[in-house]
Parts: sequence; structure tokens; C-alpha cells
Amino acid sequence: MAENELQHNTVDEENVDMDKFSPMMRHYLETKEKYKDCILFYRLGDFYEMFFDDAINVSRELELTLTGKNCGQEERAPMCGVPFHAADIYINRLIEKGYKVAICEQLEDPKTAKGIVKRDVIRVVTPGTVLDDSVLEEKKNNYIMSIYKEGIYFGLAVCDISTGDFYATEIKEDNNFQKLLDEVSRYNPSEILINKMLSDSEEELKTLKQKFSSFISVKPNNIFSQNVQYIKDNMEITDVNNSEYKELDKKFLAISAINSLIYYIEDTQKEKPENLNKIVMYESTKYMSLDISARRNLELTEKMRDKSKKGTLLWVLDKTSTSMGGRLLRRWISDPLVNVADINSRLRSSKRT
Amino acid sequence: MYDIERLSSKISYGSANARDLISLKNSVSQLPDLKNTLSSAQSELLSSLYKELDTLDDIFQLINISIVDDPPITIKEGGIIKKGYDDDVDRLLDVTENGKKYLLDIEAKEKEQTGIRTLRIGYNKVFGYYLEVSKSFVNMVPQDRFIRKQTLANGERYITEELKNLENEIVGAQERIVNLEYDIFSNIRNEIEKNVKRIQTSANIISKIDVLCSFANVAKSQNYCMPVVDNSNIIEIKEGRHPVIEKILDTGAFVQNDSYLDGESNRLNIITGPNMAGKSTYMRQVALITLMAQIGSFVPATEAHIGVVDKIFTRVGASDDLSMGESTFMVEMMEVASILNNATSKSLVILDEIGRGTSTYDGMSIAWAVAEYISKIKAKTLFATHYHELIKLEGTLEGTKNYHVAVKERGEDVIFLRKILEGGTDESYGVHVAKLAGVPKEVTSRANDILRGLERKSIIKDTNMTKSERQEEQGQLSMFNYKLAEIAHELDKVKLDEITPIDALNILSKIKEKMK
Repeated sequence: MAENELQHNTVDEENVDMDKFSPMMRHYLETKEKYKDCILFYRLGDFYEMFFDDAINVSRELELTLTGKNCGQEERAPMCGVPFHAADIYINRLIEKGYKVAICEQLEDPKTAKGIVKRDVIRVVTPGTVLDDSVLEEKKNNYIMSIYKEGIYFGLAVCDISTGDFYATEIKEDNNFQKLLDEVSRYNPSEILINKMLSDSEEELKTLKQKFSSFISVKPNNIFSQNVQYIKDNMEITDVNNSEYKELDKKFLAISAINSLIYYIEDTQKEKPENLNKIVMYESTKYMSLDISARRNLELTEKMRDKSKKGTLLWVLDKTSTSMGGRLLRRWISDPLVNVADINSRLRSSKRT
Repeated sequence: MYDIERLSSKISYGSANARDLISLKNSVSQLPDLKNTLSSAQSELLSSLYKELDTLDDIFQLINISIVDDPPITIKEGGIIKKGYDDDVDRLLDVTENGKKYLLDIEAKEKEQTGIRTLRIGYNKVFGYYLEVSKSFVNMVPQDRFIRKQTLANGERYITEELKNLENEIVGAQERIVNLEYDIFSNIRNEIEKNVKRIQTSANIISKIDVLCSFANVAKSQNYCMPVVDNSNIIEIKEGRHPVIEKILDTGAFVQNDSYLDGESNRLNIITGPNMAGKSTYMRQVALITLMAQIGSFVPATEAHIGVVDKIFTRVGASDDLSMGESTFMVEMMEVASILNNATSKSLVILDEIGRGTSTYDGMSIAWAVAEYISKIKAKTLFATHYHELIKLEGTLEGTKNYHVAVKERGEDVIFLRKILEGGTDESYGVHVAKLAGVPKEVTSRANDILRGLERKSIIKDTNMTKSERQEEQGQLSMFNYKLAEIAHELDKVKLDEITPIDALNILSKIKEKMK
């Protein structure tokens, strides 16, 4: 498991004469500076190369040979690489180990380019934004969550970019942090973004890290914007019954969380994903409340001992024939209802007529 | 039916290939049938899904007319677009397949028109395709159409506009097809992308139908019943089974149990009985049946009445938080604290062996106090404990009822029937469990001896013994004292300096006789 926040000391800039670097290496370092928390896959011909600490880490994690490259300095830069056609496999393995990977591509044909080939990051792959079928589980959502803390309250936005599901809520009752933990365990996200105030509450951050294996990163305050217009312009906002939701303007906690999540997704995908077009606003009181230990003890979706599905309630109830149905069943088991009419309307569907 | 939800995302991110579109088409093609099947559905939910289901016919049509049925994985090598969809693609395909034939056609046509028998088509790298005419026929060449390109010793080479047009199409046709097909494919994908929301909505409906069908199938194959769900404060289950264990065991091997909880006189069930006897299974079963009812599934019972609960809490066995450095007991108490602070009168609480992680008296006191507190909250609670003292709560603590696990004794052996019955028990059968688990006989029989010894001692101490028991006990004691007094008297009479060792032995044997 990788450290949640990687320490990077790629190049000690104060003691190194930047001008001495080769032009390509200067571009590499500039790019790396923008993606400090990622492993940078830098396309050179038929390979993606990694340098400095990235190379050392990745060669260790993926058992690749560590070599070196002349970079204009006295010492050669540590380097390792993977062939471009097999890159997905290596990227996926890094994601599974809890790293983020930024992919820097050649943007022009080297045959026709003049001077150094133009390169830029075209996508950032993170545990919560991965789209590769070989990493995603068919019958399981892959959630990314953003938590915005303000005082004792929380705003929460959660999304599966591989399916387009997007939910948001606010927690403003008693035992807020306890409720937050319940909500996180409801989704069990693979990646969590948090704001500064939450990362400053050491006890809460520690608990989050202890209870969940999610990749947690702290994001700057400016992406937790309270501007509601962008959301309204791009998304349909509904309640759980698919009716228009009109209260969003007042929910600034949720707005902050939603904005940060959209910003992060667009920043990693380098585009505005068309499949994220609807946000479902919900109240957690609409569902039965189940804390982490109840979910685990009752073995609803995974066994306590080995996290497997066999021997769980999900295993008994899953006779679904599509992946979509499988994912929904898992969600329904995680979110039992409390409204009698809603429950009975489901029950009546199974009744023999 | 493929994962059209994730397919639609792939389309949104521009990463869908032609095969993905074919998967989408094949899935969408089943929607009219699905809709047809739903049309006869009786339930409100299903019929509203029927109304909302968009069969996406236009998407099916679009892919059906444009993309070949078995396209390659890559979208950059052509072979994707169906014949008849795009004129340019068709023409280019035609040229690549039939180019040679068209050249020969031109040759034949020109031969006939000019009457030059020796006219033939050729190719060189300098100026491509040409028509070659031998010297003797040069005067028959039509000057208006033929453009002379090269003079040879025995003839002339010409081009015509028609020939050059064909050449332009043939040369690079492959490359142009690949690019053209890619562009057309991207356009189709973009067109579908505009409809992503519709696809998502249909995917959503399909998943709901899928889950509801799954519920119905499981209900039928596992013989579940439809629970009555309302806002009452009652949980009543007749012949309930544990859904998972029932499925793992052979059919019928699982022992069914009734349950009854309400917010009043039956809100705290104290369940005593040995470990391993099925207490935990029983309690989880009640929680799972309640939860299943609330997700809208039928439940493993013959009858069930579930008043909706707002929260389910469980405090069961050792938690997996152990590995995270906190002591078992601390974790246990944190969980208990969270339950006591958050449970309401609408909650269902499962407490299994509270206080186990500390000393007996500590643990029992905590269990006792927790039971009292939870009874005040009025949460419906199942409380399993091996502290038999807690059975005394029935009658004194409001809403408490005792239950125990039925046990059948056969000689030395004990069989746990896994049946939960009303009333408390004071046997713990721990030693029997040890025996079942394969602990060596020497240990279990020694444990049995110690247990008997301890029980005897506790009888002496126990102030709760019945009067007759106590009198009997006291009678035995006074008898004993009387004997001791007699022996003391006898010993007092003995003069040690006057008797022989034989006499001493005789006296000792007399005393022993008296003690019997």
C-alpha cells in the first residue's frame, strides 16, 4: 500500500543548475512540478519513461529494471520505463497499489515535429477515476467522494464516473462525524477528497484513515467553490424520486463538495464528461442507518474474514442477470428504506399475480 | 444484455470502439421485448417502469445501418462501416476491391473505341498508369482525349483524364478509407453521446427490473414469504431462518425459530445458552430478516410482520478493528457507547456477549447496566449473554423476556437443538463444547471435576438457595461437626506414652470408620 501522500524530492532545485538540464528534461521537470502527487508516465517514442524518485518507486513496486539517462547533469537521472502498448497493465497495477498516474503524451507526430516534440498530460488515472474494465469490478460501483467540512457540519458529494451516478447530501444533525462515517461506509469509496479543515482535524482524519482503505487526498480550498451556477448550468438536480430538486441554492455545504468533485474529475479526465449530467440530492434519513460495525457484522456484501462475497446476504440475493442490476442490488442492500410505501411498492413487484 | 451503463460512459469519454457500439446495439435490441413483457405487469412499480422505458429504437437503427456486425477492436484500421451507409466509403471500397478490373475495363473500352488492337495498360513509378500504343497505330490515337507522356522506340505512352481519375482513387484509397471510416465512426459516436442521458435512464430502469426479478426468483427458489411491513413497533417472525446459513446447509437442515419483539412488554429479549449453540446466528437472523424486508425483498420465514426500524446496531463478537491496535475491550466499549448514544425507540439492537473482554464481575455489571439503560431507550433488543444472573431481570426490568437455547442431554453428551425457547437457563455446557471441539478427554473430564467442585462451593455461598436445600445443607454440616467432636473426645482419652504402635493403628482405623 502506498503512502497516502507521497513525499517528493524529485530534484533539489536550489542546488542544481536548471539550465544545465537537457530541454526535454526541463520540460519533464516542469510537467512533474504540476503533477507532484502523481507518478508521471512520460512518453518517449515507444516507451513511457519515469525519472528520479518516480523511477525508483515504480521500479520497486513493479519490479522493473532501474537504469539511468543522461540529463545534462554530472549524475545520470534514475530512469525506468514500460512499453506504450502494455502501459495499461502497469498503470492498473499502480492504481491498485494506491498511486495516481499522470499520462504525458506526445501531441505531435515526431516525424513532422520541429525541435522538441510537444507533450502534455492528457489524463490522470486515480483509484476513483479509473475507467479500465480490467480494474473495475462488474457488479460493484467504484466511487470517488468529496467531503467538505465547515465547523461541525459536512457536505458530501459522491460519484461513480464509470456509470454516471452522482449523489450529494449534507450532514447537519447530532453526532455529525458518526453520521459521516456511516455515509462513507455506505459507499465505501476508493478515493476521498477532503478540504483543509477536515485534514486539520487530526482525530477525524485518523479515524477515516483507520476505518477505510480509501486513497485520501487534501485539496486546496479554492476548488470547494460555493458558486452554484456552474452546477445548475451543466447538471440536472433531482431528489431520490427523480423530481426536480429546488433547494440546492441553500445547500452551500453540498455545493462546495459537488464543485470540488466536478473540478477534480474534469481535471483528471481533461474534459467535461457527458455522462455526469444528473445529481441526486438525498437525505440520509431516507434510509435505514447502519454503522460500519453493523454492516460488517451482518456480512451484507462482504465476509468479515476475507472480504469475499460468498456467504453474504448479497450472495444469497444476487440472481441478477446484468452488471447494472448487480450494482443496483448491492446499493439497495447497502441502503435499506424506511418509508413504508416505498418498501411495499417494491415488495408488491415480487408478488405472484 | 451488456453493461450499457458503462458503455454509455465509454461513449462519453470517447473511448468506446466499434465493438462497444455493437454491444450497445445488441443490448438495446432486447428492449422492445422487455417492454412487451412488462406491459402485463400488475404492480404499480413495474407498470411505471414500463411507461418510462425508452426502447431507444433510433439508437438501434443508427448503429444497425452504420456499423458492421463483427468489427475489429481497433477503430483506426477501417473495416467498421457497413456497405450502403456512406457513398464515399462505398466508392473507395469498391475501388480497392475492383481497381484492377476497372483498369481492364478502360483498356477494353479504349481498344474498341480507337480500334487499336495493341493498346494496353501499364504502370510506372514516374507517371503512374498509362495507355501504351505501338508505333504502327499511333496515327489512330484520338488527339482530343489522349495526352502524350512518353515516346519509346517502338511506341508512345498516353494518359487520359478518366484514367488519371481512377488512378487517384486507387492510389491511397486504403489510407483514405481508414481515415474516412474513423471520421464517420466518431460522428456516430458523437451522435450517440448526445443521447447518453436517455441510455442512462433506460439502463437505470433495466437495473431496477433486474433486481426486482432477482428478488422474485430468490423468493421462489428459497421459499420466502412476503412480509407485512408497516409503521408499527412490532417485529414478529414465524419459523424464521438465517438466509445465508440456510443456503450453505442442506435444505431443511436449518432449525427454524420464531421471534417476537415489540416496544412494550417484549422489547428486551435476554437469550442465555452455551456458546456455539446458535445464539449469534439467531440474532443475526432477526436483523437480516428485518433488513431484507426493508430493501423490499421477501424473507426466509413462513410469516413476518416488520414494523420499520430506523437503525440496526450490532455488537457481535471480536471486531476486526483488533488489528488496528486498540484493545478488544476498548473497541467493544466504544461500540457499546455508540449504540447507547444513538439508538432510538425505533431501532433494532443486537448485543452479543457484552462485557466479555473484562473480568467476570466487571463484565457482568456492565452487561446488567447496559440492559437497564437500553430498556429505558425502548429500542427492540436481542441480548445474548453467558451471565446467567441476567435472567433475574425478567419481571424486574420492564419489557424483559428470557429465552434460552434448547439442549438435549443424552448421558454424558449434549446436543444443541439451536431452538430458541422462552425462559432462562443456568447451564452453560462450556465443557461440552470443548469436547465437541476435540479437546483431549483428559482435559475435559478434569474440567468437569473442577466445575462440579466450583458448583458445590457456590451452593454453600449462595444465599438464594431454597429453604429446604439450605436446611439439608445445614443438617449435613451439623452431622459432620458432631462426628468431629466425637473424634476429638476419643483422641483426648488416648495416652500416647502407654500405647503400642499396634494400638495406635487400631485407634486410627476406628476414627476412619467413624468418618464414613
